[in-house]
Amino acid sequence: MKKSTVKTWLASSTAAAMVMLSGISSGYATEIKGAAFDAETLKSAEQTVNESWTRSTPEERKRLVQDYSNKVCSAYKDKPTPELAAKIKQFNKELINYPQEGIKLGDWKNGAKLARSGYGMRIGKIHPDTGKKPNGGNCYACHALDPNEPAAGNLGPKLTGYGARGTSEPIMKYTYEKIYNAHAFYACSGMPRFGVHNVLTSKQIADIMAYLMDPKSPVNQKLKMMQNLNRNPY
Amino acid sequence: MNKLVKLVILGVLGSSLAISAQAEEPSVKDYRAMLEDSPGEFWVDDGKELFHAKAGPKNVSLEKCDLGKGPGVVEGVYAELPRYFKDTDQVMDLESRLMHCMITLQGKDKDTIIKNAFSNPKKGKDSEMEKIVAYVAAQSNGYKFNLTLSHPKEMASYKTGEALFWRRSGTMDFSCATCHAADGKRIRLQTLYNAYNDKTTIPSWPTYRVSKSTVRTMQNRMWDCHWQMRLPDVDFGSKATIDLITFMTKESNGGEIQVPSIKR
Repeated sequence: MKKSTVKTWLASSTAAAMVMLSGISSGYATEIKGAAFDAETLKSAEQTVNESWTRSTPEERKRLVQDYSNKVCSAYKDKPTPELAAKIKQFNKELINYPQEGIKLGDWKNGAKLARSGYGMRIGKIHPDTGKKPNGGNCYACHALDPNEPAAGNLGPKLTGYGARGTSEPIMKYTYEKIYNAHAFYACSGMPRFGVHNVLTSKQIADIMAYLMDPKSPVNQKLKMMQNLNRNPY
Repeated sequence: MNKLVKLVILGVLGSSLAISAQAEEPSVKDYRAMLEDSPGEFWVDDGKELFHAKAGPKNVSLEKCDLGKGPGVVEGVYAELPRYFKDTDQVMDLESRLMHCMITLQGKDKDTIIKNAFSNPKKGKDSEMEKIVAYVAAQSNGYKFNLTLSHPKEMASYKTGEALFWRRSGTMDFSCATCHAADGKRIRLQTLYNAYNDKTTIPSWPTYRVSKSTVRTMQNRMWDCHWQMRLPDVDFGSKATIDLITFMTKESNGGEIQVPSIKR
């Protein structure tokens, strides 16, 4: 991992920790009262985490620290009460930063590459990513996008034809925010908070947005039947 | 089996790796049908030799190792692991228990065991642990997983394991449950197992991984998932891994053990 990435990640986790200290966390003990797990089990899980990564560096172990959002989602098996869901969304809205140059569409061709790449952020001694390639967004792991790309996962909704929504200011803002921090819209979403954790830069987000929204992008083309039949998906 | 025959077969497997690694389930099924046995059988054979061979500073075998049904008993033990062990006063899975025996009976060094627990065929690195695990687990083939959680520490391990299963953290905000708590989900074309509806996946580990050219164990699977979640390397045989394995194995109770299987 690059030094700057570590720094920014640290900064964001410190910011998250400070938000926790500044009030929201004071209610955490009462918030877990109706949770899926009892307090004793949650405490045991934390003790277990503390004693199960002893061979990792303190820097690496920071990734095991949960912010308010992940803490509540975990305790509620990703199904928080409506009150907590509202708090989680608010917490996450406050974590969104916007690009100085404004929210714009980038290069959909680079977006296509990022959508296919799962590279980046892996750590440890056994098989860490070296940081020599840019981090990917790995959109295809969970989403269908290009109708002519059959190797798409289904953990997230289909995004084929996303560009039909147009490129109005509210749609641009929504798409940026969703990629930056999906948990601001859907509490305990399964989608990573790509902006919050500096997995993707604002330029990369702009490129992925172009892949989703540019009318020329393959995501917004029709299924090519013949080509699809002749193609070996593997 | 003859070593030369082994090498030839492994060579064939290796060359088909590039294709098989990307293929989806039906192709792996064809591949399984093509072979009479899982290539993992070689690991079972080697594991049997290693289990009975004198080794370590104390120069003794693992024949006195108590895996839950008394010293030296291997048949059926895997079907009831993880379980509580009185001598250590903790719940242990097969691998942490074997490590315990290697340390206490054979006098082996813990750090060295952990360092060599996972093989790396690409770098020519072998693992005795993977072989011994394959051998012991295969002695429960035909048995159904039967975790009773009758000891309070086994129940605690299960509960903690489920909480860890849902615990989200790291740069991807993932927990195990993000991918493994619903039916019919896929990452790309790879189908994902649902911990809450499984009688076949957990009982198929340890497994021969075609894409890795080696047998992988549950401890390796625990490391692999955490690594993919962009979390640090979880300690081999740690409480987190054992509790997760207790939770998942209990959920798959009743599933018939058939190992080593063969997977992508």
